[in-house]
Amino acid sequence: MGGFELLEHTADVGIRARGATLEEAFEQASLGLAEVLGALRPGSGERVAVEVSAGDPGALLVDWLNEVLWLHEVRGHAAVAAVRVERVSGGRAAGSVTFSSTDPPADGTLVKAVTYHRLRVGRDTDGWLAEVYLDV
Amino acid sequence: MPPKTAAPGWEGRCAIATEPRRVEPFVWEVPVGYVDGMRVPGVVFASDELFARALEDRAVEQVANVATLPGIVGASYAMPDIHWGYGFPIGGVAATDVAGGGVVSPGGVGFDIGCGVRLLRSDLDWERDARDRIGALVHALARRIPRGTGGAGLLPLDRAGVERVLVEGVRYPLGRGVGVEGDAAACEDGGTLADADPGQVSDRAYQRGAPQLGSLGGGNHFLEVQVVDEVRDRRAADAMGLRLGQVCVMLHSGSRGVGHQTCTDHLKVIDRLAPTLGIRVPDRQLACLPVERPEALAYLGAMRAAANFALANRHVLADGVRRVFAEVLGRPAADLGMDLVYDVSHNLARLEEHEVDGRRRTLCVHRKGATRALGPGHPELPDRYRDVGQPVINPGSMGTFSYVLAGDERAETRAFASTCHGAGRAMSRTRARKLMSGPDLRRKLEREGVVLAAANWKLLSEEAPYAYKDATAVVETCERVGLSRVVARLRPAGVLKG
Repeated sequence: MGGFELLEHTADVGIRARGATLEEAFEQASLGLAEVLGALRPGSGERVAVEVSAGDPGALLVDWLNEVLWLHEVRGHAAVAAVRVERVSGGRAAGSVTFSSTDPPADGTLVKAVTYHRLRVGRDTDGWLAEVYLDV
Repeated sequence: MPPKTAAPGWEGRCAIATEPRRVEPFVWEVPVGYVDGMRVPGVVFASDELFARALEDRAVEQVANVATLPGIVGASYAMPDIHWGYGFPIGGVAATDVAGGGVVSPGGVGFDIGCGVRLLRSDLDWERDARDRIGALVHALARRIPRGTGGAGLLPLDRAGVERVLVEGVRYPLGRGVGVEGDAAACEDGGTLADADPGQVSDRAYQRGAPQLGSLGGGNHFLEVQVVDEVRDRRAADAMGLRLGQVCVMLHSGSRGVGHQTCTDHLKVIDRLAPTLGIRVPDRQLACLPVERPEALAYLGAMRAAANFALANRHVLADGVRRVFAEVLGRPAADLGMDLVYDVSHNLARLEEHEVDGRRRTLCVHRKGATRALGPGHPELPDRYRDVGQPVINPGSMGTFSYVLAGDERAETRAFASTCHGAGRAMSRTRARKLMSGPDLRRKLEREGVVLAAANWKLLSEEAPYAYKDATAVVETCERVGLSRVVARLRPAGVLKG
């Protein structure tokens, strides 16, 4: 069963995401980012295709989350209604983010960027695990 | 953190020799061997209490990680406001020898490229001119100064405008009649970093920056109306135009989306390329390349461009502050004496000349949450500060004292002319928020006589004073070890949070 939790950091914030598949771990990490942004509003809205490429799963996760962050910001800090990661393989991650048509959140944290600090993407006995820190 | 490794046959001895130790009062050494691959020791300037916090916080481990960077010289330094960052510790200073294969690491600058602080003085006396108007001032500032997620900046730009800001820094808004000529001279580098390369700034960064010039941002960015509460160095205070009881305005902001995107873009390239050149770092956020590589030069050109955006951003914000004061007080802005004391950046990498092992060398000096601090007589100082040293603006936490410092010439040999940048966080945001709600914190500060306006009440207590170290302990440690001198203390009267 997938999910995410936020990790404490003195100045910033981390996300630990789990999934039965790597794709699900990416989805959960994206929802974690939306939670930090105060922009998680499950529901329907406008679906935007996302595809990134990078050299390894860790860098793919950073790029994927940076893409979500970028789309959120240029859409006027739009709320995230859903995230679907179709496929993470061969140096590419592809899927979509659905942005809600509701008003942008009034009390979100401004996230500057997704960092490579203590970046972890891998498998353990419970499935896939992804850990990533955000600069806020 | 325990030492990670010991050389074969030396286990017992290394286990002792790799523990950090105090080598003189307020100076701690983190020996080579504390983590694998250190090329130089770490040096942390801190009291016992500040050092103990840095150890708990993993920040000392980060000082040691930085010491593994190729070409690093001297030591991996950390200022007393050190805390856990991402890759570099916040408060970290690292210099690499360019001709000796020294690297630049975008993580040693961070995502908020050129983030910094500026201080405006005034001819206003707190008791006579401002005490009765502080509520009106703060609320007018809250209406007029864009912050948080809301609203466009004070000077929205088209693409050509962004490009000019990236090259010209404060000169571009000055040319459009925003601010006064004296503002440029009171900035590091005269308000414009040379050798900026807007061609290395991506379309996305242009797009993010266009609406944001003249906006505060969020997180720990703020604007404060302050009162000079104590003058400790009269001569330096005179040179800076500071006197007891005077109203000042301090603001903290950076390069907004331009810097965030620029760091993200170049980090991706460098993270991918570095391992192919055999460069290994203990934390991927330390990814780096030799300064002389074209990709490193591209980053430095883009970084300077983003830093110019940060300088122009604070310049435009300061002009907005002057206008608000003029309106609320019903006097022309030119009559208020709201001159810029100085503008300092605390997230930057610069190519500087320093003496290492008896030889002048060009170093790439990274300051991540640390401020350059030039001592008296330094040729790069404006004439008015030549005799007293560079002003260093050091914000405290919300509702506590801030400080104006002056560079000390001893900092040149101590830490490549660097000092602290503020109080430094001591507690996670989540924990800080659990201790007190935003509205409760507001009531507490208002009982202490501080008028507050926040863009985001829910997150306000993340920035509570108790989440930060004691700024007084930080600046006094810097003074004891000869990094900077305390010139004046400022107390907050009105706070505008991002």
